[in-house]
Amino acid sequence: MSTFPIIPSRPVAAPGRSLFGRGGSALARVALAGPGAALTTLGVVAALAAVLPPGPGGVDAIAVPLVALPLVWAAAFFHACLDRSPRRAAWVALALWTLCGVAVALDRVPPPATVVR
Amino acid sequence: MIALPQREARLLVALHGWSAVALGLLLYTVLATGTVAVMADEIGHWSTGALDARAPLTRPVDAILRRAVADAPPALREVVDLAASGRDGLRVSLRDAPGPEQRGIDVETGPDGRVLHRREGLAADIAGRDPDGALAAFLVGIHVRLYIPGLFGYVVTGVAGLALLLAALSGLAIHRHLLRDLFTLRVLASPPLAARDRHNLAGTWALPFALVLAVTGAFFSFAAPVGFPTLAWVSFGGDQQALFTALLGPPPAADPSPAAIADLDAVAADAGARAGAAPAFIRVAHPGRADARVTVYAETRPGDIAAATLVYDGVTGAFLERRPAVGRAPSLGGTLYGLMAPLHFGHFAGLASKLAWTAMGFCCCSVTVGGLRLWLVRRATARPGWAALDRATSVVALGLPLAMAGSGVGYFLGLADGATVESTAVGFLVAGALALVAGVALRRPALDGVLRVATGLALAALPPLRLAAGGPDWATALAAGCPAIAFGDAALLGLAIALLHRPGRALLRAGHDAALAGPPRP
Repeated sequence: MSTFPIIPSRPVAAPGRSLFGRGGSALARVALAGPGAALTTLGVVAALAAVLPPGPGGVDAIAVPLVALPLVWAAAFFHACLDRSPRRAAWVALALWTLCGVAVALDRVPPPATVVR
Repeated sequence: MIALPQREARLLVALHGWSAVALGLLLYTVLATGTVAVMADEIGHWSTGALDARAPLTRPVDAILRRAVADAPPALREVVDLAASGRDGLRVSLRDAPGPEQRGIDVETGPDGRVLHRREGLAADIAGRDPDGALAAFLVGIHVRLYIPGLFGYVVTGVAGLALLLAALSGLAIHRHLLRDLFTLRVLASPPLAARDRHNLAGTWALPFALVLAVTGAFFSFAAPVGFPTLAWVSFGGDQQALFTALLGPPPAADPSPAAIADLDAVAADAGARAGAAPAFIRVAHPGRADARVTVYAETRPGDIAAATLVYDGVTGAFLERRPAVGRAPSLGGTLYGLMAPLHFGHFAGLASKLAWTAMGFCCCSVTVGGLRLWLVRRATARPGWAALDRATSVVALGLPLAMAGSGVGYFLGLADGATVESTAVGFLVAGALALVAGVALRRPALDGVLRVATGLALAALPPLRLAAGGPDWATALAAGCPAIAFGDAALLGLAIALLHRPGRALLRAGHDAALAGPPRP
């Protein structure tokens, strides 16, 4: 038994198998937790700016996404690491990206011109 | 106790440890410099020997502003900022329109209004070059962006913030006995067990603080390089100036016709009365024009967590509005935004909260280095790569305080010829290089002791150097109501004693053993 149960002094996974899964899945997880989490954070921050109302001060859509940035990253990072299926983690990230993309696109599309009779 | 499935618990343990291996030394660097930067104002008072306890903006500033504006070319009268500078002084910064080629003039005046320093040139080149406040500015600069050029420095310190968030959240989740660890320290246990107790104890107490620091630190670091450009692209078609206008309020309608400048002393006095605290920073936009505005940012009033911002007409001096930190009216976003600064800088309750923030910063530094050492304690003897990281941990953990003390030595040595901006950086680099050389040249068992002694001696040298450079003694400082000077000296000497205590005791024990053994036999 290790002397340090909190921070073990030897690899915690069984020999020959990474905690993050085998070969390809480990790589997918690293990609999801690294650049993937960063991109998800950017997407969610942009989407929050698009969907949040400006509030009485006119700054809610700026301040709330900025404050939420580190928390969004933490959620994306831990989800990418802890989800038992890297495939599901990737699908969730992709779905979130699509949702954010749609929200931003809808916000940037100019409103249709008013029909004048 | 947090019950996690075995796989998740192991994974979080691995994340906690490997993130420390990858980013622990960077995190420690940002934490240690931040712990010192919290006391930047006090370091400024201590290093400059400032004896006037009154805030500079409560003294008459109107004549100084008028003279600075009259002496400046019209193009540089777009905006004028007034703030405290080193040695009880006032800094008047004049700038032209914002942009990459923005030019400006910085004038520092003494308590009597005499001009001490004047710099003119590109705003980026002249900002932060006050020779008297060089030490405090240098220490803050390291923490904010590690002197990495451009916005990349902010990204690096932001990554350190995210690393702290990762370590704090994973540490919280893998804690087996959160409440018990708050009070467990087996000092008589074996060294590894005692080290683990220290890591858990300091980590548990500092956990809420670490979470707050991580979120606020990442907020500040990522706002400029990532947050503002993204939000400007989404909401303002990429126009960041429009975003700042939304945050800080729209300027009045442009009217360049000449007009008188409001009495700034009357404005500052009124702002002080309304805010219940002294003005900390005054911005005068378009002085001498009909559309002039004066914005007074006050110190935080005792009992409040956020400071007041008051806007005045720049021609008549009439009070216009009390503004929230950002936005046109109080709102959730504005409140959250306004909370970031006091929670990160810890200045919401004056010196008491700053001391608490400093203590918690020390705790976080100890947890970071202690955790890395726990991770390395067995691995370092097994593989050369781990041994190198173990050596690097010692060099950074003890070399960074040595380098910061070296910057203080450089500052006082450069005071005589007014080259403190350069000598402070040189002092830091020379001391850091010495730590690096020691890390390469010395045997591992001797490394920690030598660095500890060097840091202790450098810290102990600072108070005599300050006095030799013409700084006031304790009696003079206390009589003038400036305890920061005596407090700074005492803190440095206390730290020096703490660092020199263990090596000194070992040296005495070695001498005692040698005396008992007697002279060597032929």
